Amino acid sequence: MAHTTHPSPEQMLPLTPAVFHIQLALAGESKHGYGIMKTVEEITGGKVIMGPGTLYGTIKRMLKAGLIEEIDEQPDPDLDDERRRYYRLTPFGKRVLKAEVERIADLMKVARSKSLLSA
Amino acid sequence: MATLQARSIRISIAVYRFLLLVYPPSHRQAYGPLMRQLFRDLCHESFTKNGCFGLARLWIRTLADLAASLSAVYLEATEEVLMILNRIVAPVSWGKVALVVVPGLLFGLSRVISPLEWSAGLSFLLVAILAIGVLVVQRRLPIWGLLALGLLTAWALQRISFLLPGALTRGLFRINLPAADELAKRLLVSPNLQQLIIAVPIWLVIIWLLWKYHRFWRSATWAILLLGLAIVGASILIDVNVLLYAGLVLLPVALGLPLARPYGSLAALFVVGAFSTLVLFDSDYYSGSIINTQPFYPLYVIPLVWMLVSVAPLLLLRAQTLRGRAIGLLAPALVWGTARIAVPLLIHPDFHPRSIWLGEALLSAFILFLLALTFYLYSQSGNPIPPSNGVQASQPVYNG
Repeated sequence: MAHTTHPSPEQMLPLTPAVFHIQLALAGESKHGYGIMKTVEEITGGKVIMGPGTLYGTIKRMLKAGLIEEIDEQPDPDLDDERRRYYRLTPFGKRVLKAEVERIADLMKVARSKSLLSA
Repeated sequence: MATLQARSIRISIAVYRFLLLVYPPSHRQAYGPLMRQLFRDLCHESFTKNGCFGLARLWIRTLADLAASLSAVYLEATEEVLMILNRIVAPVSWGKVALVVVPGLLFGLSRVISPLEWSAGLSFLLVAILAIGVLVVQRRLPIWGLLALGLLTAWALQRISFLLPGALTRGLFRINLPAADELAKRLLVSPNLQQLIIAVPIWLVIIWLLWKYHRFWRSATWAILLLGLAIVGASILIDVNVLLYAGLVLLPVALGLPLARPYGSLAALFVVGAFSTLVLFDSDYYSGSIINTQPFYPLYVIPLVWMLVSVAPLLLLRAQTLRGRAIGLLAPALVWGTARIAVPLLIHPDFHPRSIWLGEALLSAFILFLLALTFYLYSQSGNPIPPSNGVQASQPVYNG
């Protein structure tokens, strides 16, 4: 595999909402486009619904940035359409997601200290 | 109900497929089928849950998504194009490119705004003087000076060529040709005489440069030079003005050939400069009287002149590969040659007689052929371009 150099995860922050939501959706398991969309809808309580244009535009940028990768094998080929493409987080993508979550957690602490959030 | 669902979904998918055409082709190729499939899934889901109302809501959401994602995708596509352009151009400083391109831009405007004629000529003269200064100090002719030197060389050639017919026919051949004599007489009155006086030091510089580079002279140089002189001579004897031009445009090809040894195909800048004088001052050789009184003339002639004096030099200087240079030199010349015939032919009925447009077409084809020949000869004579992997910018080919 060709060696690629990534910037430090902190340099990628803050992530755009679309990138962050897709990364969250892919944390833990690989998914195809429709699966990502449904997971994002689910984890945001239906507040964020991505359209095909936004979803694949963001996926394209994330692939280029090395945050996610396309996988050849399908989790369960018998159950799914083989034309679907599956995506998963790269190790670099995981580090970036972790850094973003920590950044948000720090902000949450500040918000709590200012009594903007209940403890 | 099932039929209504199937039909609604089928129509929706067909419309969405059509809408996808607004995305850039590269994005459509990579993600179009996936987006269609996703939309199909969403259609089934929306219709199953909420029927036609659900499908309508999906459409509203999808159209908003289309509008929102388009700008991002196009911005990205533009960035990609800029990156590709950045990869194929050589890292020549824009300051040096400006020394070549700015006088060319002035030259284009001067074809219509006559007070600019002197400033265009003067800017080329200044660049040429600066280049010769660099040559004297650094003992190396800078690449950005070649266009201006070519332009002035041809200008000097043209001044002399008007004098030569009279002098040669009367002195050398002992023939008295009234037409040639008349040309020479016309040249000896102001302001032609002033131009002739300016041409003399330019000729001295040219002779000095030829002497300096004489060790690079090869048989091809001599052959083209003699052919050019023979055609010029023939034009004097049979008094055909077109032949005089055909001979004159061959001379810069020969004179620039020694420069191809150190500069390779980039020495074609010298010939482009020379052609700019020889061809562009007479670019509407046949059709001039028809076209230059038309209201569209400035719009027609300025971009056309820029093709040869600014666009071609810019692309030639910035291209990193030999193929890139060939395209950079010949594509603007092809646009120039085609447009100068096609535009008047389409717009003005007086241009329709075959003798007029065919003459123009032959002249354009001849110039294009000579530029291609120049590029071939020069690229064969010069130092080859170092191989490039096409991704990283290669080393500069010359010390511009």
